[in-house]
Amino acid sequence: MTNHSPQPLRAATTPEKASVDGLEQKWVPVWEESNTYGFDQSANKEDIYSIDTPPPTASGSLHVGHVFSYTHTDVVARYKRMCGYSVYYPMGWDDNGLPTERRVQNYYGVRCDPTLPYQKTFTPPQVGGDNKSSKAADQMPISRQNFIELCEVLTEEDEKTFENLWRNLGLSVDWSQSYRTISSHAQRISQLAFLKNLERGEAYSAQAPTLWDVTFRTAVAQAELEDKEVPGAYHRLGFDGPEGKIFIETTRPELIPACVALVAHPDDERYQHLFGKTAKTPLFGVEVPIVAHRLAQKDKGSGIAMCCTFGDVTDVIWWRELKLPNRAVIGFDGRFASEPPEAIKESNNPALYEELAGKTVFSAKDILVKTMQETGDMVGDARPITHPVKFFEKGDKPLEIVSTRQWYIKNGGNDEELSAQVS
Amino acid sequence: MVATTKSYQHKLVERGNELEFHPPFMRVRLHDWINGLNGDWLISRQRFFGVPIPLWYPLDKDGNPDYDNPIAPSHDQLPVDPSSDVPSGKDESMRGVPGGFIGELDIMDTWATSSLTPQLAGGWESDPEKFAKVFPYDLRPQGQDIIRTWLFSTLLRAQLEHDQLPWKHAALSGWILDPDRKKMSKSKGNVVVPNELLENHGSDAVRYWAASARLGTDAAFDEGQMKIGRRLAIKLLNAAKFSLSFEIPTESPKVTEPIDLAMLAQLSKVVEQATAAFEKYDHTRALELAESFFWVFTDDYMELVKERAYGLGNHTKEQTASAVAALREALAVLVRLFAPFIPFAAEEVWSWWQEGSVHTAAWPKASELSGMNPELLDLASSALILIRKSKSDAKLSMKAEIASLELAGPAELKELQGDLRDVGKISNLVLTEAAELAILELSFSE
Repeated sequence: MTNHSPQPLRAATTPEKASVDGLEQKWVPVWEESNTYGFDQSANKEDIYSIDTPPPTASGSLHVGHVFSYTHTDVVARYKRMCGYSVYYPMGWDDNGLPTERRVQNYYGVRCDPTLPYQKTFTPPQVGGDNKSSKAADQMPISRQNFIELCEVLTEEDEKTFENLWRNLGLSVDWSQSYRTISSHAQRISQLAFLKNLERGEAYSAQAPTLWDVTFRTAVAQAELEDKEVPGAYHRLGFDGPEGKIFIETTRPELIPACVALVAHPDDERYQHLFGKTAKTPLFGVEVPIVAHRLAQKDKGSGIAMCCTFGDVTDVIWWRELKLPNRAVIGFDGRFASEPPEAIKESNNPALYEELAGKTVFSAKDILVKTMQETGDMVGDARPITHPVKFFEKGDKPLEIVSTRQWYIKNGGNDEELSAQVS
Repeated sequence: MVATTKSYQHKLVERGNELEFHPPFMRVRLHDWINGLNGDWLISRQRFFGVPIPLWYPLDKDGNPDYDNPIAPSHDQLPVDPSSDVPSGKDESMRGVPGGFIGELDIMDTWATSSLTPQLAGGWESDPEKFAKVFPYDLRPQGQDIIRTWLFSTLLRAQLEHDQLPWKHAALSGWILDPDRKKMSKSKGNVVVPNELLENHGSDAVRYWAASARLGTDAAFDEGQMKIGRRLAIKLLNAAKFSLSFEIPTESPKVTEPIDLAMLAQLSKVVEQATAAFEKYDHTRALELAESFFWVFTDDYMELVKERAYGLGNHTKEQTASAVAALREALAVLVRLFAPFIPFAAEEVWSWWQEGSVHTAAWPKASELSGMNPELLDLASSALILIRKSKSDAKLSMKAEIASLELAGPAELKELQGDLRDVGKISNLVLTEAAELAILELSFSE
């Protein structure tokens, strides 16, 4: 593309009074009509400057941070255009996902139930909720397709508002090049890319411990985690070892029924003679191995820790690397499962587990701590601390780790085969 | 085993090294993330609204799903919703019954879609011609908070699908902090609604504030800066109106006067430096350069040549033409330098005397401007400061007339004599050669 150069000596017509007010209303339509920012696809590849614009979330409100960062990009786009490039500057809308889902639930008073059939002539029970959370019980369950149709209607309205703001800000976007992450085109592309990953062995499903948000009832990826400092307390508990009591300190005494091992650092002299032997868990008397692993911290508490399925990410690593059994007790709702693990059924105290079944983590902790204080399995008082705990970035309850079947894409973080293929 | 795992991470780190980060220190955040990965990317979500995982599972004779042998749709069937669509060769009556199938209920993580924006926007598998033209992209602009999510996952998908980087450059913007230096966010309740800002200050003003912050640098929410931006836009309109207001006195006017040539020579340097800054993705520097020149242009140069451009005083037609032509040439360059930042004011000014849009005009080149001896403009500015100060010290208006003034300074001062006389309203200006610029003697008119 050849840009024109000015002729400084041309005759000029200047207005009586020049003002910056109203210039947006004057020029935005002109730019649109003249296709000033249109992308010329016929240009040679080397004359094209292309931008992978961040698609804003249309269901959220625009804030000044958007104006800030999008201006940075627009400045570059305008410079490159003037340098003679055919600039590919599309706009996308990220209208997929939780923010839209919640907005539609509250706006229309509905919720999605993918098991329901599609209703052709569907009218939502309300239009234009006050955008405050409504209770799930008050929401009408509808099919996924009906739900998605509502999402499409509402996001389209939201996106119009955004587009107007972007135009007024003067973003030199080619508006004929827009995409929506909710569109059937985007669905097709996402599914196609996934199937290609699957065909090449880069996607797989597995039953595995997964970080789980009990409020949203969904699995959460590593990239969505946030560490939050929260109060907790160390509880000093005694296990029956081959040569007397072994004390551990834990912030999660309620996981005693899920305990599968005691773990100390391989260099920790205090426990050398115990490695390879077993100990019995308090209250239940389940026999667990005493093992060594490099992730045990010598200077934390007594240096030896209980491994439970699953208290935190380290437990998952121990469980996986030391090939320990799975005695998970916490369900998808964050409560103790009604069925105890086999080892507990066969333990000396299955009745105690019955008290825990259906309880929240909080109540279960209360019951077990009181019992252990009575039996003397817990020594002294709980020692309050604050410690970092993993949360879903949108959630307000600590994440649990539950075993589920999930789909994964290989990213080099946990895989040997892929590396072999690629390298 | 550990070594091979590392080698794939190493491959991704290498891709990270090929990508040009602006600012460069952002690269380490990608590398730290890749090196810290402790598991594959979990993409299934137990939510409803999103892209369904496009699979079904066969049910055995007891009705148990066989998760190890999923049934996939063919590519031309896509998109599918496995909870309402059926695998080819099966019908709805076989759903959920032993020997039949069930649909996957999970949807994909939204990042599994967002990680495909280059493919999605570029026509991958739908418009191959376009995709070949735009991919790999030149630029990925994004927030620094989503390096581990959006940037990394896009890079990963492109690596898996195309075995190449999806872009050449990544530009990372900083945070906006409120005046107390706290991050502005919805949850903190200190959000400012952009519509009101644009209405109160004008879009150019808000853009000026945004562009004043470098990539990767946090910026305070500062309406004072927006007011400065608004003044800049107004000043551009006024300077243009002024520069275009003079009649062109000769057939083909030429820039001949030393001060006019000096101004163009300085502007030519500004063009060169601003262009270099833009090429390094330092838009803020480009703006600063254009802006600081512009204030000298309006405050000093325009004042100096005003009388001459009007054809007042003792000037030849050619000398007048030189000023008029220089003003217009400078304006034609300045408007283009400002166009990326304040596009509305720039377009308005352009429309007063040029054809087409300034936004599709050619970026100015240093070679467009034939000036010389740029230092003369600095000397003129310094001399002006002295003359103005003498008036303000005497508590006189800038329009006050000076009967006589003896000004010491470098020999080049004589190139400025006529213009200094005009702007200072000096009846008798005597120049004395000296190393330092100084007023030796001064008397105001009665």
